[in-house]
Amino acid sequence: MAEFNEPRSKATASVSSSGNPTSFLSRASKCAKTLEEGNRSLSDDAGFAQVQPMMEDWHQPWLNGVELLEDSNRNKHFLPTGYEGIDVLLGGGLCEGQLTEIVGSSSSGKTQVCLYSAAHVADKHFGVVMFLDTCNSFSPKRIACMVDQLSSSFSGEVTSGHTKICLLIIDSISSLLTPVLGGKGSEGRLLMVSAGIILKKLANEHNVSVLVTNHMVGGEGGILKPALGESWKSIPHVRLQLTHDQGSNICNVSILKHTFMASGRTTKFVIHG
Amino acid sequence: MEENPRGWIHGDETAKAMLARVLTERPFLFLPPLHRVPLRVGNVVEIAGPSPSAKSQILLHAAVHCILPEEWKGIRFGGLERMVMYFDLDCRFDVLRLSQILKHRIMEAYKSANSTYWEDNGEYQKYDATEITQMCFCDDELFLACMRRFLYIRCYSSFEFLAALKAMHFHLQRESEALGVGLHFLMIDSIGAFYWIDRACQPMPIGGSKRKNLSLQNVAEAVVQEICKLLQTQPVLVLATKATIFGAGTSGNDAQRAFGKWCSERKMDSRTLSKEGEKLLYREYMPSAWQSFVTHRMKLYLMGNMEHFLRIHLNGCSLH
Repeated sequence: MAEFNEPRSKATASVSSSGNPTSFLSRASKCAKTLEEGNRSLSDDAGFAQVQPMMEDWHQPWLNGVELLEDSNRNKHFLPTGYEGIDVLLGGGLCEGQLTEIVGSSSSGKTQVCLYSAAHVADKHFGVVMFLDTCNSFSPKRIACMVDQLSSSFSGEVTSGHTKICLLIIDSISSLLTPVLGGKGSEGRLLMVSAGIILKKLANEHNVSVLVTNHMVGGEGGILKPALGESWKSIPHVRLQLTHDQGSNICNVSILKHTFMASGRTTKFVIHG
Repeated sequence: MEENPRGWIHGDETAKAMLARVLTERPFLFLPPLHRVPLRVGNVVEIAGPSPSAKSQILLHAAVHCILPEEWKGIRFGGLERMVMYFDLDCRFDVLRLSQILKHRIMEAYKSANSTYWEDNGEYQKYDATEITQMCFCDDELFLACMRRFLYIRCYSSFEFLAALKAMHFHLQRESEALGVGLHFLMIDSIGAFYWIDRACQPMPIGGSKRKNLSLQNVAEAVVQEICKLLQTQPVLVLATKATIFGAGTSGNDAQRAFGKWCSERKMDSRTLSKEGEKLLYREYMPSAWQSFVTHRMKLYLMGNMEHFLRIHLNGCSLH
């Protein structure tokens, strides 16, 4: 008992700011209690518990591996392009939820692949295809031709198709971005990175496959390299390079980057029409 | 509290005892692709490299090593059986690749376990159909248990990243109570994903002068602060990838670009040319708050024909 009284009297002697010895003692005991508890978790804090539900809105939901797999199996299907070579190379076709880039020099067949994939996906009723044309390469006649060709080999049943967009094609995203890139400012790269983030968000949340095309520019030693620079390389999920021999209708496609295939795999396919 | 002044002067433990304690509490890890570098919990590793180098693959292999159990139904996997937290800032994670690597590791462990069994017995035995189906069933159970230990979140901006870091502690507690294991790795895919966006933010005062302005430095400082807070309460190994965003021949200055062109035309000594290119390629662009937070820096190089070459800089000295 004497020991208990001693610190109290010492406290009254030393405390000058608050004249109340009991309040000092209660504060001191509280302090000792928190020190004793040692590793208190932050979530015990009453303040954090109030803020925490609000913070759930500020970030994407937490997922684990099992939920990711379920989402991938249920929602993220493969859309075949119609070219068997490309489909086999990609393990099924264009993947929903991913951003695929096709790189090639002019007249290497990029627009042809885009148009044919659009026609094929629409024909097989996977969903709605949205084609954004930035370089005047879209031709309704060619599409009509392709659809005729495809429909003639199909049994001609008219099934009620989905109304959901499943494929978004942007023919030549590089023709939109290259005028802004370069120069001293970094606005071009800002635009490019923001566009990449928006496209990937669209792809993931709405289960859309996004296909963009890119052209080639001269690099070191005169070798052609894809346009849009180093920052763009880490934006698409899959990067394919097309090359076309003059006078033949066989195209080479090789993988520059893929999420689970080895880079460098190549294959050939025949361009129709 | 004893009032013994001598107690203050005598040390708590000797250096030998401390080393023994620390090495048992925080043992060195040898992760499969980086097995020449001993890493410990509390280290912050930055893996930098140009785009087609295998940075994300290193993260995935390390994650699989972590989520596999040490031993399961008599078969030795040699994993850590702990959770992995993956922050996907690049939004390029493919769960199919993770499951591919995991299944491959499980099958390999089964094969090596069965081959030793055959060696022990000295006889060649063929599998029954029941044994194979049993194996597949075991795979599924183990596979799902491992996948549950992989925690994932995507972030589309620096704000979301910071919010997720702040809320992570609460979520981790819930998960570790549910699964019964702790966290061991914190992975950030592409710490420089929002560099251009944050750099372009004008420092504008939000609601008075007391709040911090939004800028690249402040975001990096906030990120480092949150991760430090986590490291204090729960020691983890932080692995971050960083993409190189400056090309080998690019620079903002026209004169330098012309020089680069002239060099390639004159066909100068390839070693000096590649050195210049390398310097530009691996130019450090993260703010100093992040740079000083990193303890280990690894650089991946591409040698022609898509081969990869790993050079590791450990605070100055380099290994190959």
